[in-house]
Amino acid sequence: MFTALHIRDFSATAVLRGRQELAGLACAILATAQADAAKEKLPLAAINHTARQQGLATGWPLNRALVRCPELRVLPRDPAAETALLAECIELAESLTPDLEITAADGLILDLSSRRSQASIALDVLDLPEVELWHASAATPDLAYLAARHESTQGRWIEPADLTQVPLHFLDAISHRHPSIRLLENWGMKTLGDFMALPRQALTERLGLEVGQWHDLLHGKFCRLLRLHRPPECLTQRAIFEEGITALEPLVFALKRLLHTLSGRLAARHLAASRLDLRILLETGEEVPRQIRLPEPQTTVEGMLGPLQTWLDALRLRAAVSGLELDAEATFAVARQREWFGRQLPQPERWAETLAKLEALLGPGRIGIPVPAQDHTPGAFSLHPAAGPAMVQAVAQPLPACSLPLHRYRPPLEIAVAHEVREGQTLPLALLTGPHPGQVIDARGPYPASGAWWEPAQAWQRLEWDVQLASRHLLRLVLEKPNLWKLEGIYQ
Amino acid sequence: MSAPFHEFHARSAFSFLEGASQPEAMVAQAAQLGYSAIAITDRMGFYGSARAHHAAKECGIRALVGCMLEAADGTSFPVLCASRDGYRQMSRLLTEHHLTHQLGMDFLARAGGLIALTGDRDGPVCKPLLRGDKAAALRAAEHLVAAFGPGNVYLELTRHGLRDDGRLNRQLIDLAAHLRLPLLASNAPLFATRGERRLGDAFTCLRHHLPLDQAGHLLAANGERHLKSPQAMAALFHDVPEAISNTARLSERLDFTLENLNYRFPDYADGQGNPLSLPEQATLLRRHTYAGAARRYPALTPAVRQQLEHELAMIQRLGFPGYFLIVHDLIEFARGRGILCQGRGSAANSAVCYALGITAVDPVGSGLLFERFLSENRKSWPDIDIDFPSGERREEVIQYVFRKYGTRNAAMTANVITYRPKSAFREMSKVLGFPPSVADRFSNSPSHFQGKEKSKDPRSFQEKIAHLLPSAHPRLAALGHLYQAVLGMPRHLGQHSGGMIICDHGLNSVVPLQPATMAGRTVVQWDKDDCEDMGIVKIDLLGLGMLAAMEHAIEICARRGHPVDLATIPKDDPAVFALMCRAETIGTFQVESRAQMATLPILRPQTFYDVAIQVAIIRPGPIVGDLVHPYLNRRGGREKIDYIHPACEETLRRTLGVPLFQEQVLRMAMDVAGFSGAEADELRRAMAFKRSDARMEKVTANLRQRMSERSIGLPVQQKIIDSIGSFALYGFPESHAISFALIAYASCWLKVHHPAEFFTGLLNHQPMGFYSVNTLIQDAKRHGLRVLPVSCIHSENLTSIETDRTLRLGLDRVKGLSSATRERLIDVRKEAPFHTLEDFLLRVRPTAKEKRLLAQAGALNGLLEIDHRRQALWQVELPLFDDLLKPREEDRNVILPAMTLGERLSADFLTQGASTGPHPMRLWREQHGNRNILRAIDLQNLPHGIPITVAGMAICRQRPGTAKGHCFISLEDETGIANLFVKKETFKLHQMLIVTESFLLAHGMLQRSEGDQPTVFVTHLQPLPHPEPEHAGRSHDFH
Repeated sequence: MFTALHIRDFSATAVLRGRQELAGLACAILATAQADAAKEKLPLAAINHTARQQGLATGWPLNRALVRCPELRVLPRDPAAETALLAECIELAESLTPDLEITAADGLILDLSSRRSQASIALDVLDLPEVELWHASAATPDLAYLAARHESTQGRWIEPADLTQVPLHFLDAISHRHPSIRLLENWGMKTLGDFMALPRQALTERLGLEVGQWHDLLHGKFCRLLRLHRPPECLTQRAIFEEGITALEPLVFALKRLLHTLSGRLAARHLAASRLDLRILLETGEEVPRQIRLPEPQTTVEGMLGPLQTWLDALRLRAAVSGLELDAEATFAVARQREWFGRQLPQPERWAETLAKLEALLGPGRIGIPVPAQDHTPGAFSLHPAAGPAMVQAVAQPLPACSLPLHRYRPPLEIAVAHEVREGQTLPLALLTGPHPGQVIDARGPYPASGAWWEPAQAWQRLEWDVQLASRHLLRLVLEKPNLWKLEGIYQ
Repeated sequence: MSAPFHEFHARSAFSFLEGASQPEAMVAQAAQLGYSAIAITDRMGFYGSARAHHAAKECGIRALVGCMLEAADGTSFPVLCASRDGYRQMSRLLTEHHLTHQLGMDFLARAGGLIALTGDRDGPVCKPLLRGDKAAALRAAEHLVAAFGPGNVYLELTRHGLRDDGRLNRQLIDLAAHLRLPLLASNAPLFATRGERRLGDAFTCLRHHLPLDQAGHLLAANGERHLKSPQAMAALFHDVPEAISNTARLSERLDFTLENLNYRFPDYADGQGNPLSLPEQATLLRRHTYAGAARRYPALTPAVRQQLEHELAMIQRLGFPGYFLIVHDLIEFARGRGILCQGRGSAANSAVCYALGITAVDPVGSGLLFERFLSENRKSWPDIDIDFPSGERREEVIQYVFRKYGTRNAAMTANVITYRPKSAFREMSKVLGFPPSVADRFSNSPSHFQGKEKSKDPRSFQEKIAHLLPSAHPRLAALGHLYQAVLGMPRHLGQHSGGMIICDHGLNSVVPLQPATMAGRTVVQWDKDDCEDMGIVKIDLLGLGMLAAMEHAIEICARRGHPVDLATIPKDDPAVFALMCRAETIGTFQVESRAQMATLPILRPQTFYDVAIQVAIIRPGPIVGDLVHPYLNRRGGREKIDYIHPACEETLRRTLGVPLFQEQVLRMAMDVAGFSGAEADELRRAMAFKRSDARMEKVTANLRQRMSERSIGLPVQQKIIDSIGSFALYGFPESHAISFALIAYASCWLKVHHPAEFFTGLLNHQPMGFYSVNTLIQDAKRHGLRVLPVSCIHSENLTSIETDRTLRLGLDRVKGLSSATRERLIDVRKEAPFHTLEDFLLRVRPTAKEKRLLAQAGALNGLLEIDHRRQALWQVELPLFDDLLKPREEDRNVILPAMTLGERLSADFLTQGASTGPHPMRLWREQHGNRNILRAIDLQNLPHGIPITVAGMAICRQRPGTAKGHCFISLEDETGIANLFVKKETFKLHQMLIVTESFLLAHGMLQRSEGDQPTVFVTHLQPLPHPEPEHAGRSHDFH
């Protein structure tokens, strides 16, 4: 015996649950991920009860729906809410049986073969708040699934003859919009009964075995195995200490135990950890979180412990540690053969440890390979990750416009500059303040530059000079409007 | 006082996606900055040179001619034309490059007259230097010297405020010294003013298919690449004064401008290809003219003879006999091939054209003014436009021209495709990183929201798109700026619909040619206005769908034993005028639109000239000028005739004081403002479609001034100016109206006297005109014809006539049935008729999709064992085993139910977009209708003012800009068409319903206006209950 659950208007229900301000209003979700990108002719993917009462139906183009119901609210899909709703539905189904299949986002099939006696009782209590949850039972999973999707057949035990009045397009649910459905419609088939009445052999000769299989399925002659849903195993571990730990050594010891367990679980699943999330629980109730991304996916305890221990070494806590919580992001282990002539990190864990030490010193987000930005923004650069396979790749550098290396002040120093305006051109005469005051004996420029004019918050405009001082220093001066002089750097 | 400076390396927006200013703007800015010459060097062509030349003449400076040549290694450099020979060489070189993708520069040195600059950072010399490859730079410079000759290469220096300018300039100066090349300063501008740098950046992004955020170093580092004043350039190059002074020397060397283009229209050649002299051509023209006149005029009256002599004398004095002979040759070729053709436009004013068979209007009989066509005051060439049947027949004529004059001597004129609101918004929003959905929504907005006019106020644009983007969006200002800046900018070159230019001494030496998108055609790099400005003569060989349909109808008439000669049909047939007065003109030429059909019963044409007025009266020009009603009112005696000014009385008498034709407007300008013939011609050119506003404003100001000098009162002045302004968009010359009226009359005549042939021709040349195939079929049925469905047993490829009153739809009506399958079907059917479905499928071998299409369309009905469409649908799915296996007997049993009438209708619309069955409204009425919902025919007998409800299929929704926001809807049902008028307020209330629903239920009051035509003044609209959306035909919408 199989029971199918179906959440009617799944995406609309997920969005509208708990939104009281929309109660009583006609709402719809369009068949696209972005409601703001809605075109007038997009079909309605899901509607709520009020919209249905106004005469709307799923599949209507939006413009037609708006004609019928001008006050229709078009809402964007909410993937998070949909995931949560499906999770609730799975949880509810698991209260009946662990053997279930997630057939679609809005439907589950439950194998109740081993619980035949209790099933009818349990099905009566299938309910989720603010959700129209339909169910139907049948001898085969697909019959149950089809029956649960139609109002007239839901909520009861179904035999093939009960499906005869169900519209033909319901076959889309199991055929995944197979083109033959349109052909059947052209044949004048309106209900599943019309389809079931066709001679199977003649049908198969014309439309192939797959369509013949639907025919068998509707006559209850075909029963498939479910693709059973198995929830992912959790890698989170927690250790609570009876007495607070105040020294590093016992803390590392406890952490190693957790890592051993983690390593074993990962190895059992042929996975590796790409990220570790460690949470230190203090006796004061505070928590100290730490997230470390590993340079290469690791399965060994040493490989995972190194970066964590570096961080723990530098850590100073205000209270004793009462517990540890460790979680990991699992990924597939890198299977790669070392190359003879390729430059690779022989010991990525040591590289990671070094980076972790540096990050402990400098703070998060300050470690990486600086690469000049590929635009005209002065002094701009971006940090490429120092960890990971990309770190050994050479970074392409454009030819410098100026051959002398420039030692940049970051940020540039604001200074006072004596200047004159000659024939509309500003000329610096002397640096009055800053680390290199003095008279300008030679100047090249101005070099006007500007960019990001399309983004008011980032637009910039400046004039640059390369100046030589009497002290023989070569400097780069910048004038930003209005009358703001900066010393950008010194040529080496 | 600084040394004079000239710019020789300026690019306009015709260097597509590179330059960001129109050539006119570049020239105007150059003149304002004090330049005496500027060279526009567009990439691989002289695209912007003609416009620059025209603008330079206006500004009083010289527009030098040059282009950017692209080398094989991707570098490019400017080449300037120092002499006419140089220009001709370069034009030929560019032509060969575009047509054969070869750039042979080897002969340039021999040619002389060309001067090369080394280019900017993308040039062959700078590019290696920027890589540090001095040897390659030296080789490139030496190669240029070898190609262009010593003394003809200048080393170009640019300074754009970049840090490595100094190093690059030093290396270039060293190179110049080494090779003894003169230095030349340039700013290599891409735009006229600094502010246009933003559009330049946007173009860069479009060129590289990147948004601004990702363009990085591809964008300009600053906005220095604009035209700079000579003083600024002198200051910039103060350390290299010879680079500035050399610009003056180079300017002196370049004595070629497009003024010296030396284009000459070919002389007519004799049978051996030898060009005839002018007297010989004049003699030949006279002979042809009188031979034609003898055919045209039953008796050559003194008036006709006098007119012909007058025209022939003027044609000879102006040196145009060859032109007329060449056009006559084209007409003779077409006639020889049985191709229907007719001249339109001002040529209809000429009796010579009438005698030569170029036009079909007798100007002597119609009292048309020859001087509108040709005048000694006007030195420009005559403009003859000829209509041919669109499609293959016109292509035959075009290919004849290419064959006769050679591929390097004939070409189509270009059509400059510019950024319009939709494309401007789409491209600029893409560059700024907006999602495509924003552009989609902008495109789907009603047209009046899209800002068709180029507004100078960016705020107005932001208000217009407020419903698309929040006003606080940080990039909204940039979008507004770019949108305004790019509107009207050239986007790419297309080809003009029919303008051909020819030459007998190398058209490729006059203007570069390039391949058109259509195989076997070439286009020149200038559009028709540029060609006209350059004195290049164009002949318009235009395609007219109605001519093709009429030609087909006439051919069928001849085949069926009652030939028709349109030239001899009576022009005063009461049956034709009665058809027009009843507004039963669906499918005819020019008088079939909703507006025309609404006006016909009011105007009630009784003569041929009335038809010409009818053709001209429903135009945007007269409507904007609020001139329709005055004419109709005066014709109906409800309004007094007013000639605006006594001087206009003679001119406006034929149209009851209302200026309807362009000739009248020009004559008014001459009579009231004292315009000379040349000034009037300038007014005509300014009024020509798509010309610039500036030209029109200038002429209008002149007109106003001249009227003031003649003490014309301001109200009269304003009336005249308004009349002219309204004609500026769609001025309709009287001769043109008469030419079109001929075709309109002939199409009505065919509809009255040969309806089967008329509708067959019409159906076989769709899409065309105002109405869908379904509406045409419904109209044919209302006119007593029987239209039979597509059948694999009976149908030809095209729709054909079975009996006098019966049409059979052709196989081509089935959408998705390939031409190969159609041809195969007809071929194998000729061998032997089809017996069974299996026989059909085995011999025709349609694809699986085609089999289903034919079955669903009912085209297989009638084959043995096929009783209905569903049975065919069931049987065609059975696999064929040829002779190996015989189908089982039970497979032939009818298993599927037959389609209902409604299902058959749906299947027809799905497979053919039309149905020969009953109108969908008849089916609806049988199931859901009631006595309160009236039919279109019921409205004819109801009095004015009673409340009514009508229902129907919307076949036309129109909301023209001239209707002040009101909307017109045509609702078709099984009895005819009901006209609905929806007030602006009601339209706004039901806009979504009106534009989306195929079937409407309208409530309102019946109005009977002039002509006793019933119109429903709509007060409320709702969707038709229980509609079948798949029964809807195509609607002609303009809202």
